[in-house]
Amino acid sequence: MAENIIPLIPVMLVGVVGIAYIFPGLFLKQKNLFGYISIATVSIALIISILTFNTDIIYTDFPYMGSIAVNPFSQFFVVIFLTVTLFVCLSSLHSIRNNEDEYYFLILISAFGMMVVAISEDLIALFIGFEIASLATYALAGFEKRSVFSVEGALKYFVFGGFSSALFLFGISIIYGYAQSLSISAISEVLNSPGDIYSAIGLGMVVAGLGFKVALVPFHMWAPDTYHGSHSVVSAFLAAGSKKMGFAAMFKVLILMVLAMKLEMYVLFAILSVLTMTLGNLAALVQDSVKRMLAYSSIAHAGYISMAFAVIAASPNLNLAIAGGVLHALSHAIATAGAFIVVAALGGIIIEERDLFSGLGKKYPVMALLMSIILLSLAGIPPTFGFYSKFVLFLSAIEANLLWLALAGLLNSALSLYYYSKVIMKMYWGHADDAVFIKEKSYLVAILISVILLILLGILPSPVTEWAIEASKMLLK
Amino acid sequence: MLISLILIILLTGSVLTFLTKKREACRIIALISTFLAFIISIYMFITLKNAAFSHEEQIKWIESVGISYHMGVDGISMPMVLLTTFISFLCVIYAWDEKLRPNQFFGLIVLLDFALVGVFASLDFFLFYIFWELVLIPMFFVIGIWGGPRKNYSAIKFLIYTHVSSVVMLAGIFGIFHLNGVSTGNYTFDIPILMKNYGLLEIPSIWRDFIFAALLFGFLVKMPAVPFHTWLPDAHVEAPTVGSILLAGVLLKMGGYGLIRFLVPMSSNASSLFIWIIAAFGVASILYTPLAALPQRDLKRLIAFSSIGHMGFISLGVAASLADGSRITQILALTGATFLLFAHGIITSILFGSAGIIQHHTGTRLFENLGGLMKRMPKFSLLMVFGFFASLGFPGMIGFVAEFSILAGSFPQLPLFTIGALLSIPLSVIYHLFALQRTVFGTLKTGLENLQDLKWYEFIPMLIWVISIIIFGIFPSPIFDVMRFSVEKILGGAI
Repeated sequence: MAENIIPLIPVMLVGVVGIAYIFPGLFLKQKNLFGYISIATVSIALIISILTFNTDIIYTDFPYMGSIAVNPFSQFFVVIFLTVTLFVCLSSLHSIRNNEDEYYFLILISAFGMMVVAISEDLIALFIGFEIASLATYALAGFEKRSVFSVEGALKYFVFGGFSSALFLFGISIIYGYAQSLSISAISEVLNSPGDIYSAIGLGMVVAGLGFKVALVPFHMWAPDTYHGSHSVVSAFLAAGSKKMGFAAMFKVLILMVLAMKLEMYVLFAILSVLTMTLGNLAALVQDSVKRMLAYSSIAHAGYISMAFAVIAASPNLNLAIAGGVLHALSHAIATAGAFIVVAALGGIIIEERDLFSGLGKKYPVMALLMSIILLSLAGIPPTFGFYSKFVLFLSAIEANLLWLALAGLLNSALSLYYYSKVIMKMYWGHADDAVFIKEKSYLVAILISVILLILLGILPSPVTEWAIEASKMLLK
Repeated sequence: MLISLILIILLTGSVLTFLTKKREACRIIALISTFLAFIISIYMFITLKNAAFSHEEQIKWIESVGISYHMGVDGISMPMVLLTTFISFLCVIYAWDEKLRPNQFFGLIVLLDFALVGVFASLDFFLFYIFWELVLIPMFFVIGIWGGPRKNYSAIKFLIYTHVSSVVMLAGIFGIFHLNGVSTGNYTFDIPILMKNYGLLEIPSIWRDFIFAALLFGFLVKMPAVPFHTWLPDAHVEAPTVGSILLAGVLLKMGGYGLIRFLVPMSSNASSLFIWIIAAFGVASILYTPLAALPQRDLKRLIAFSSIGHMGFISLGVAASLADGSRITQILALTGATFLLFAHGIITSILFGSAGIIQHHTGTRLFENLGGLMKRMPKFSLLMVFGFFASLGFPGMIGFVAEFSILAGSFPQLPLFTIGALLSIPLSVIYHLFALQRTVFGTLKTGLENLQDLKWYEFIPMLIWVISIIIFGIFPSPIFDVMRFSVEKILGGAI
């Protein structure tokens, strides 16, 4: 029986268009055409994946052989990746002026890899997607070849990333040796007994490997330098897209295994999560550069999202936990992409030489207002989506009787308001100096969409919550 | 639909005000929207039924988490809504002459009005918390952009301090939601349902104490009670006058309102230690205030401290209504506390209004440069004297009704605390008179010879405030009785 492949179209479309860029790039002169084609491709893919969110198909026929599946969970992350990719393509239109073919090739291919991770149903497919995306983002991080910081960041990212992939793969191989299968659902059936030392070691390696990708403390060292050194638009892609891919993989692998092995892992995850958010916040407090502050803040947000792992490990039947995690992944992806794009729009392409944000409220009130809303969403102030997703996340911690974890999250969130509001203060009552503002509509469109999404989803979060709960039911099935 | 109508009018008014570039146009839009909100809230007050909640509306919102858009007012929240729209409307008139970024200024004032009405009218914890936090943002900008020399420090201190208290309160709200859901299977954030069930729940004592303490902390910081008050003098001194009026007149009432609305119905399921804690915080604030206020050299700082004392009376009244005793005195104490929320809102508007006028006309608020204003500004001086007398609890004015009820209602239950509170009254009279003597009376200081009396936009709000403190001081019953009915109900365990 022919399977319904419409839900797979977004993934294939992005992958095929990405690969197709290689040859025309050699002779085509109109290179900014690639940007527009990418935007169109990603938009179509995004629309299809939103329309097909409620499918649940495991592709068992040739050539997939049960290695991929489309369900509300995968579609949720596919939508996150495509939204971020759309923002990035929009804002790249005017900031990437050379080698566009390579640039958009890398962007689309890494988006393709991320989506493969989201739809993967066995560990090999997951690892392949993970590596495709990672390799493309290593190149993207170093795309500004002439900047020392960019090269430094890319090198760090590459070395750490390679190491983390090795750990991840080693963990997978141990698990394979134990379970005799690579299919995630088969593994969880085999492991349906309290785990022994080997599976625990395997799982520990997987945690560490993915922990590097999502920059959990203590695996976070590379992130500030890479986010700070890359082109700001690429930083948006890394923080909002690549990091969420790590979470997609973590949700897929860890939850199933933790639940199956019935390991009392929640203390470990809770500690990792609290450490990550606290360290990220404390480091962000003392940053002068907004871009670097955003890098640390995205570490802190990785801490919030990983609260969901602790909660689900403590209380395995709680749909709200995973829903909170994926909702926060979405809200952070939209907000942090918007914030990095604002940095790019203000001329902070690589490293801010001047204080870009000082007095912005007087010079460009619209941009200052949009940035303020993005920052308030990151800080979790209502009525933004950032508030709602944190609300669900912390609520789920209370529901799982992890009062201390919820309090740690809440107080961290309160602390984070300090450094976000410092930027707002700088914008509104700092002295205006002559910062470069790149008056391109494409930046503004991307930022505007992200702000509208943050407010709209903050006021009417019901549909996306339903979706997240469906996704969570799918994982816990 | 009336509550939503007010909210829609204010939100649209705020957005339009922001978008209007012309100073003349934007302040008229602000005036019209706050005026409409005020008129609708008067109508709502008149048509308030003695049912559980009037003007109730409920729309499904986020069903999967148990959140609905639920609005309604009763005898406790309706006077607060009225107070909010009343003071905001007069504040727009008072700020008529604002020259710095007028569209943003008026837009933020209207937005603040919107958020505050939302806080008092919400009957869903999620919605309540959204408005509760939304209040911070306009106030942060009002202090930060139009504030005095140390505005940066004060604005961020205000924001962080009150935000921390809010998130702790949120943890308490989560706790209520969780326990109710586990026991009854009904996961909802609906305030009436949660409050009704809370007294009946079997709760582990650690949760019980945590929830009560978390909410109490949130409200005490907002009120504020000593020792959590340190954000208040800074915020007040640096805020522009209208900001101070709204901050003291309405924002502080959120804490007292929270105590009465949530902690009183929950108290049947709380450890009795908390009654003593609330009373102790109240009396500490009452006694601390005159001592802190007397040495101040800045009129506005002195007024800021006076608010802390008044809020202490509210804590005392709430504690007395929870302590063992006769139902009649409990009701008297709690109604007094509720009435003080309303009364203090108007009184403090006059006080901060006076401080603002003095600052505006003389360029200083320091006592050593002031004196003898009566000779040049007789109209203003008369109104200011009325305000200060109302604040020190002069009989026949609104403050007396409130504080008398609280003290009379508290004495049988908490005699020692009440005596402690009474001790502060002579001191409180001293600092009020001291402030008047150094500003209005005495010899005219050099440099103040050319003062003009009040302008129309200063005179009208001050006059209306003074008239209302006298009218409601002599005839408090329209508001007092409405409050008493709801207070009886929540003390009886219903909400």
